[in-house]
Amino acid sequence: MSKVLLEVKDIFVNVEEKEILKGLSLSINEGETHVIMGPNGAGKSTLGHTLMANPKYNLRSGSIIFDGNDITKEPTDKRAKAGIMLTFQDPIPVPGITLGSFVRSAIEQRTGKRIRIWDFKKSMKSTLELLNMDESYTERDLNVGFSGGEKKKAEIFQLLMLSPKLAILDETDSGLDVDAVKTVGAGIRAFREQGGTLLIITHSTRLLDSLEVDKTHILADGRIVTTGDRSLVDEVNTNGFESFIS
Amino acid sequence: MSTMEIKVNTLSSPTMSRLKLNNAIMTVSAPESIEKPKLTAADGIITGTRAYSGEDDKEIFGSIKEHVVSFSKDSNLLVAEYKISSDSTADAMLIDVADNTSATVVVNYTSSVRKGCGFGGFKFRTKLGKNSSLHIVQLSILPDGTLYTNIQGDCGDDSMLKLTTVCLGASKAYIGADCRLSGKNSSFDSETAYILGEGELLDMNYNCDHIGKRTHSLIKASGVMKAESMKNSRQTINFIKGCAGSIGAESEDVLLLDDDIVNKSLPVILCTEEDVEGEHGASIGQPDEEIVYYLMSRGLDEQRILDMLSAAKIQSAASRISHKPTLELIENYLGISEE
Repeated sequence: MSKVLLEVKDIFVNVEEKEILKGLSLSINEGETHVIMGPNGAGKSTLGHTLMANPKYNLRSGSIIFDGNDITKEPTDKRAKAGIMLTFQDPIPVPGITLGSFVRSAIEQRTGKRIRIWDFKKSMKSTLELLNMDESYTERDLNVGFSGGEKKKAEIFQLLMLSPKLAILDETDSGLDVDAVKTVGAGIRAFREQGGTLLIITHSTRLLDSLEVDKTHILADGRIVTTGDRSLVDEVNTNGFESFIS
Repeated sequence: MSTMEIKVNTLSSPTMSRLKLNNAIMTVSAPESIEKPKLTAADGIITGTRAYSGEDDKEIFGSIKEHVVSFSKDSNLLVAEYKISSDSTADAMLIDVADNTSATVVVNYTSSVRKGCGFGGFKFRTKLGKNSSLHIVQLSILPDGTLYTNIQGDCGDDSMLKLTTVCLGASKAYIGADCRLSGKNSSFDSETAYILGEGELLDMNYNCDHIGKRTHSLIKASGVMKAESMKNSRQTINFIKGCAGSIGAESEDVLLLDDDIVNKSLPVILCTEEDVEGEHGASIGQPDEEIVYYLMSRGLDEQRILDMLSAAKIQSAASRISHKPTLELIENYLGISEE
């Protein structure tokens, strides 16, 4: 039996005065792919940012156990170093820092070891090829002037280079054309093949067509209201979320 | 050793005196010797020395001889390496760029002592012929001491004076430039980048006079201020009657890493010509919380993020420098060396 990688216990989360998550619990085993679906405003992205300790989200009660450790009070960088990574729905532009130097620094901080530039360039070559990215992408300022598709590819590039234990994908397929969905999907499958665990937050299902899904959760009004297998995705596609909302 | 107070970085149009930005008072020891730089250039570029003939800063340079530099061929490069010691020193250059000639002058101010640098004063007066260009690169990496640099330019038709200044250390640095765009279609492009360490002072004064028709100027400064540092920035664009069709822009981008900082900015646009466009903008503030969170979400701690954001403020100016040894000095200082 696989070990539990993430256990979220009865969390209540506020953004400013508004309560968004209202007693949400979730358990994900190592190597599994879970999907969180739900209508707009249900709290899907709030869950992702809460797991990543975004300071704008106030975790009022409940706990988060990751890889056997209570990380409820750990800050963002410690959670990332522990092996959690959130790919952003709208990645933030960072002028003056190139994608390549950023990823190299992040790897160095995680491992505590200096990486020579040539070793780094060698290691990223196959990842760039998988994602149909030219090496020149890595010399561009992080997310500055990137198209929607380029931003999402850059997030998946970081995912494969940093190789976290758990990847939380927040609406990764939104705004992507058919070809870009295929490319990003190939990257996500590669992450899965590396043994990575996935929590995919989405309200579209295009990305799921080429992925094996272990569990699907419907999030509505701040709670998980239904959990099922892959067939739940198809049910949502056919009937929408109406039947899950009381 | 006598100490003197010298008025420098004087604003061309004095404004509200309560701001205390009309000039800076620099207290220094009188220069005791001429700084002997290591000068590297092709034969025939440095033609000799002569008595300083400038009208300004005579207190500093009045008793010294200035190098006479003449560029008359394309792809000219002069590298001047000044090693500041505990003495008080000064040097000056008169640079002439012939018609249809491009040249680069790289000036590095580093220290020959680990601590206890004295005063270094440096002046570069330039004259650009028709259709010529001159790029002056200045890098300061001093552990302490006082640095004064001043560049004067007079640009002929279709010429361009480009300045790139990177200031990464000195207890007190007074830097400035004064460019006259006399010729039609001439331009002035200045970019300054700095990181001010704890308690350091940077006082800047950039002035551009648009005289010829269709002249262009761009004056940019971006940098980082740490605890108890102080920065004064004066940027003046002066559209003088007759400079029709001219365009000028000035901008500042400052990252504040602490609360106890004194940051003064004075953008000035003077105008006696109607047919011109002038603009200024500023972005001054603490690190963007969204950016910090995004970078942290990849495992970078706060100190590393602040180091990266600081280095990013230097990046744009550094990207203008093609002289590899100077770039390596910057990269090593910032800890972003590729190897």
